[in-house]
Amino acid sequence: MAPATGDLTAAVGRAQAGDDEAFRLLYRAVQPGLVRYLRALVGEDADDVASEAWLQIARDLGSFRGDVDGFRGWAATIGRHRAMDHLRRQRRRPVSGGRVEDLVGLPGVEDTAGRALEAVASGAAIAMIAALPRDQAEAVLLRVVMGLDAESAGRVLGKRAGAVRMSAYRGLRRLAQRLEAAGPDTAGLDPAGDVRARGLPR
Amino acid sequence: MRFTGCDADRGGGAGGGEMSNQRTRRIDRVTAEQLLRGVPVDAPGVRGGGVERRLAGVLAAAAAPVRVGELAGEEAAVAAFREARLGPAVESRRQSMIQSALAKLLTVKVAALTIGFTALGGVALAAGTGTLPTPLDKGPSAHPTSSPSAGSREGAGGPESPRPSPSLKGKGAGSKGTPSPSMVGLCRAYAARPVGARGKALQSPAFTALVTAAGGKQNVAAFCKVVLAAKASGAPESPAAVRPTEKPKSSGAPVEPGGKASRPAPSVTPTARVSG
Repeated sequence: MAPATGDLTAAVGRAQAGDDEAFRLLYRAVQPGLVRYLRALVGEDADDVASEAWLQIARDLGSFRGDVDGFRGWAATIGRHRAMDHLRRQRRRPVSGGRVEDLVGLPGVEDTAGRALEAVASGAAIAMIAALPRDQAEAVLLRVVMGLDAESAGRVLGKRAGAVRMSAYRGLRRLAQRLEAAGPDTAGLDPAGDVRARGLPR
Repeated sequence: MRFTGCDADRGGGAGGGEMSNQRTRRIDRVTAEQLLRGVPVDAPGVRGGGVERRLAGVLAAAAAPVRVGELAGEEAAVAAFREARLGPAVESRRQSMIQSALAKLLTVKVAALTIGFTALGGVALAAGTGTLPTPLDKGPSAHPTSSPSAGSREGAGGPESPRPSPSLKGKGAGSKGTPSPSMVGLCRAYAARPVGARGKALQSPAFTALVTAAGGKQNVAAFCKVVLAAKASGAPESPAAVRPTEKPKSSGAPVEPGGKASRPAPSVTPTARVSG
């Protein structure tokens, strides 16, 4: 079980007071979502960028104010800034826009509904979402994997909540279309999508 | 769940085009909001089945519990946190060290990328013409113990088992006595270690070939990054393997707090839907 929200909020306070273990708890709670979100921006470099983000989080934690939901949003903002810096250094566009061919090939999610999904499906699902137009991918990932509400996601993206909602809805619709286009018996998940959907600028 | 088209799952096939699908059925905002919040599709009042169920499956998978490797930076992050406690003087000095290290790493990456791509081209050419030279003649079996994890991964990975290492040739370093069949496999094994344990891992004989090929322990991280990136972009036949989801030696990795294997929290809400 994941630590409860209240425990994590307490951990924010303890980490700000210098408690290593509390910081570790926050890392474990937030890092998986953060790195998955960053994957939509910088592809395979997401791990590196997330590491940079954590350096800054560790350094600036004292100046943060808020609960764990606020912390998630703050971490996402820092991660996004680091991702943009990274892209600027590399002088390239964010990774986005996979191909439908990448999305075919795994048994349908119906088959797996009700039991734990395979870890590999997780990577494929992230790749599939990351392949959406970037504003849609970011909106969906911030909400689904970072667990932010539309308002918080809007603060991360510098947009109004309504704009984020719209992007997220569009993203879901497009995902649904791609799933349908991929055929009835695929979930649109392809393990290889984890790898191949990257590095293919639209 | 309200759809503008009320038909049950009509299962894709027809037309296949995104536009036609968009006309016939469309997920409304209420549904979308529920999906984004992780409300299970088979919750009371929600009509399951069809594309929205599959969509829910994709979103649940995206929010699934932590994967092996995702917490690899934990020790580094905690170390940075500890150092940040030590005070501003240390902190700023440390920060500039980190920055210059990062800058250096990037330079290495760019250089290595160039070399890597050149080398890859060379290998592809050589392989194509059947003139691949021989450091690989020993094959994987010659050193059963040298890289156990790499070997098992490659075996499980199937088709492209032992591959020649592009970098072996490219670097020209240590082409003698390099037993490993696969820098890719070694790099995967290396990358699967927790960051804090990587330095120690490189002292193991299993990684000697990797260290040699990279031109020193300090270069291994950058080297592997390039090898794996080149592998990912240049080898469409290799599925899923770049990001090991099942590390051979996972017990050494930082596990979720309290051994929570079930769903350790990529995010608070969405994971709940997996079981629903």
